[in-house]
Parts: sequence; C-alpha cells; structure tokens
Amino acid sequence: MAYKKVLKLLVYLLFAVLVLMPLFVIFMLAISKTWNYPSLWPKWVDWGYYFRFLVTNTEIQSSLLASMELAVGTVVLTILIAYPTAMALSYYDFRGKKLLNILVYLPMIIPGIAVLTNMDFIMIKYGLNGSFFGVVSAHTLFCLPYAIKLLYDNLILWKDKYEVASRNLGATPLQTFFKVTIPLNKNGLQGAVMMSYIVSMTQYLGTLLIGDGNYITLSVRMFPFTTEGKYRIAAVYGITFMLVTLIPLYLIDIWVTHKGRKPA
Amino acid sequence: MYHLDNISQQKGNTHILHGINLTIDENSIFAILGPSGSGKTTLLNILAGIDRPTDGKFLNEAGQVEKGIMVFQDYRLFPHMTVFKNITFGLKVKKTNSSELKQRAKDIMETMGISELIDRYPDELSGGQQQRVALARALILNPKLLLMDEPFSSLDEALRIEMLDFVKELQRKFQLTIVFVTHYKTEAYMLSNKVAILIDGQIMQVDAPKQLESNPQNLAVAKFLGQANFIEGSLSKDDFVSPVYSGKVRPVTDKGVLYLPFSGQLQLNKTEYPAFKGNILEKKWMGNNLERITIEIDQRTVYCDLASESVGENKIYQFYFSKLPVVF
Repeated sequence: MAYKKVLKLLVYLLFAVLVLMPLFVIFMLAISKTWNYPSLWPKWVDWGYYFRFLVTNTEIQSSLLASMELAVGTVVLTILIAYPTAMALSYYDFRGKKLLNILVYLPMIIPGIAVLTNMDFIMIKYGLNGSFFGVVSAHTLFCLPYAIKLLYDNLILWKDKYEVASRNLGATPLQTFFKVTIPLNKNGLQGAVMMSYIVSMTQYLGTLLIGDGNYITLSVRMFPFTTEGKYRIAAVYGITFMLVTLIPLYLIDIWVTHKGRKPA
Repeated sequence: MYHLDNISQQKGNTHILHGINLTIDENSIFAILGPSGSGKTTLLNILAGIDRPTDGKFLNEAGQVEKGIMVFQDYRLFPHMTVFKNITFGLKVKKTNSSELKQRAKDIMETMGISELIDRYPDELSGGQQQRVALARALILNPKLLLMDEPFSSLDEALRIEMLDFVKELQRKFQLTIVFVTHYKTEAYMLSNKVAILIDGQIMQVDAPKQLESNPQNLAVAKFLGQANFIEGSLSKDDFVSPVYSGKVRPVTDKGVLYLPFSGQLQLNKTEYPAFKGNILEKKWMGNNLERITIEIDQRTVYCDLASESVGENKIYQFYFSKLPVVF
C-alpha cells in the first residue's frame, strides 16, 4: 500500500513539474519587475503590472478582440458544418461514406503550410484574403477534424433511434433537433465547441497568411516577443491568452452541467 | 378498416417486403407473427410513417394516409427527460396548453398506474415500468392506431402475462386498433384472434390461431409454427409413401412432406384413418395433464402429445389420424 501511495505521489509530482512549473514561471514573469540571470527568484514583484498593462496597452486589447472575434466566428462556422456531417456519418449509410470519413481528416494529415499556401491562393482568387470570412474559414478547416470526430463519437452511441421516436410522436425535424438531438449529445457538442475555440485561438500561420496582417491576434502578436527575448511582455500575453481560453471553457462547462439532470 | 395495399420495401439490392396486402379491422388487436429477419419491424415502421415503402400504400377507411404511434421494442424513452416530460413530449411539441397537458398526463399516469414515477428518469425504472411509461407516452396522444414492436420480449414470464392482459384492457378502454409484431406464437395467440404470418417479407397466411395450427397453408408456415413432425416421402395423386406412413393423404402442395402436428392429429381411439403401429420409447410430462410421447416406427421417431397415462413405455400401440393428414 505504502509503495502504491509513493508511486501515486511521484506521478503527481512529475505532473506538477512538467505542467505547472512552466505556468508558474510565466506567471512570475508577468508580475516580476526585475528578474535577471542568475537570480533564482525575481528581485522585485509588482502585482499590479499585469493589470496596468492589460488596461493601458491598446495593442493587447485589439489583439484580444481580434482573437475572440475570430474564435467565435470559427466556432459557429465549424459547428454549422460539423454537426450535419457528423449526423450524416453516424446515422446514414450512403455511397462514398468511407471517402468522406477520410476527407474529414485530411486537414490533419496534410502539412498545414501546404494547405494554407494553397488556400491563400484560392482566397486571393476570390478576393477573400484579408477578410473575416477568409480567416475564419482557414481556422475552421483545422477545427473540423476534431469537431466532427467528437460529435460523431457521441452521435454514434444512440444513432437516430431517439430522433425516430420523437418524429413518430409528432415533433418536427427542428423540434427534434433542439429537444432531442442536442440535449442527448451535449457532451460531444461541448467538446467540439471547446476544441474549435482553442484551435482557433492558437492559430498563428493561418491568421497571418490568409489575414494579410489585418488580424493581429494574441498568438500572432505573442510570437515575435518570445523570439526576440521579450519574455515579460510575452508572459503577459501568455497569461491573457490562457485566461481568455480557460474562462469561456469553464463557463460552458458550468452551463452544460447546470442544464443537465439534477442528481437523484 | 385499414388497408395495406401492395406494400413493398427494398433497401439497396435487398427486397425486405414483397407486395404485402392486408386489411386490419378497426378497434381490434392484430398480430403479425414471423421469425427474426422476416421484415416485421420494417412493416411496422411503414405503418408508423418512419419508413416510406418503395411501393404500395397504407390507407385508413377514408382512403387517407394515417400514421400509427409506435411503442418500440427498446421503449426509447428519452434518457434526459423525466417520466412526466417523456409522457407529455407529444403534447408539448403540439403546443398543447399547460393546464390541459397536466390534466391529461395525470389521467394517463393514473390509468397506467405510474403516478408515483413522475419525477424519475428512465434509467431508474424497471423494464415493466418503462413499458408502461412508453405506453403512456403513446396513449396520451389518443391515437387511433397503436403499433407495438415485440412488446413483451424483454419482460419476464409473469410480467409478460400481466402486460398481455393489461394491453387487452387498454384496447377496450381506448377503443384502439393495435397492430403488434412478435416472433412468439403464444404471445400472438393470447393477444389476438387474427394473426398474420410473415415469412421472408411475404404474408403467408392470415387466420385465427386455431386455424393456423390445424391448417397451415404451406410448409413454411407449418415449419415456422413448429410443434410438428415433418416426414419426407413420395406423393402420387393422393397416395403417399414413406417408412412411417403410406396411404391416402390430402395433398396441399407437391413437395411430398407429411405434416403431423404434435397435438390434435394422432390418437389411440379408432377412426377411419389408421396411421401406424409404433413402440413408445419415452414419455415427457408437459403440464396440463399432457405427455409428449416419443414413438418409434421402423427405426424412425415421431412425437405426439397425448393425455397423461394413456400409454405405457416400451409397449406397441396402433395409432389413428383424427382426420386425413396433409402433405405439403
């Protein structure tokens, strides 16, 4: 028993070192005033620095806004495409189903840079480069495999058997979708929404290439800071980045749990 | 009267139903009996408007398309809704006002004896309770036509008989037309006095249970109903020759298979149709004062049900047919 406990503790410790330590360093960087090599600890900690930076710096604010706009747009477009696709794949048998199954994963299989340069070419051709829709569709392309897979895995559990019952009891297709399909598959939907949001937030190359520099999102702006060694600003961006990703995820989680059945 | 008019169903290259013609009386229970994979559920789905047939029509007396409300084999109670929400689902989507909805839910739950389950979720109910909720969810809509897919297959023996009686009572109370499919013939016979036999997507026979058992129209029906000996031989006109029995028969088809049901066909009392002499190998108690007798005739065995203690083991008896036997 003691051996098992020690092993468990070691696993936790390893986890803490691997995941929490870097986060802690970023956190400390964001609130430290001076932290120079070789000191192990910041000489001066300024708790207000992060918030002052966030409130006064217009660049971070505009980046935050751009990131959020694109993420929300991406989530909406992804779900609009992924839901019917996942339903078709899980409920129906049709010619070309296997091919569609492979096509869905193509954006993950083909290297991103190859997809994006070609996509940029198409976007320029149709005058969509630099537009909101153009960038959102580039993000969506990378979200679709995750979203479809998450929705599909959830939908395949019951297939359409409850939808069939609902339609037989007189519900319209729309009523069935909102009263039966979505509530029964909210875990898949939650996963798909969260994953799309995160993937969109972390998109760097797509935003820059298709966006023609019109969308300077948090990840786009953060990248040069880290490469130029401006770790403190990069840390502030990093913290903000984490907050705007984690808070909505937390809120969605609360909403989903709250809407669920009460414990018996 | 409901009319099934030449209904066919094809999925891909598979023909599931072949030109089904049936009439179903209103205010009655109609059973569709058939083995697994015979197309029973497909036919029921067409009556429920869940599937559309590739050919043919299902119409009511007025010549209109009418869809029945289905009670599924696996009940399909919405797992995220309470019993109350499940039952009132059909009314809710029709935007019934809330006081009427509550009243109708209260009434139907009282009828079904499930009032105390109102706030439970489906996974907190027993199989029997789930079935009652599924029935309530359908009956609250006052359907004229209720469809039941293998309604009793997942219930244990005692509950099955209780539910059979209960469904009969509901049929009378709500003046329903109930169409149900099953692969258990006892279930079909207990619930309905008109049974259609569906085999390989075709209706083979529609008859009262007693007629089905005594006069199956073909070998497929006889074999499905079981509880009979099938003896192969050769047939010329109405003369049959086989190691077990040779003599006059009533030919129905020309396959040359003698049909001897376990009960009703063979007896010891003399008639004008002598059958064979046989040695009693074994007796098995069947309940209801019946014994299943294993008779040996020329190294072949034939089974038959007789009143208990009418024969003794290892003795030879002369058997008679109660009526001229049928050859398919």
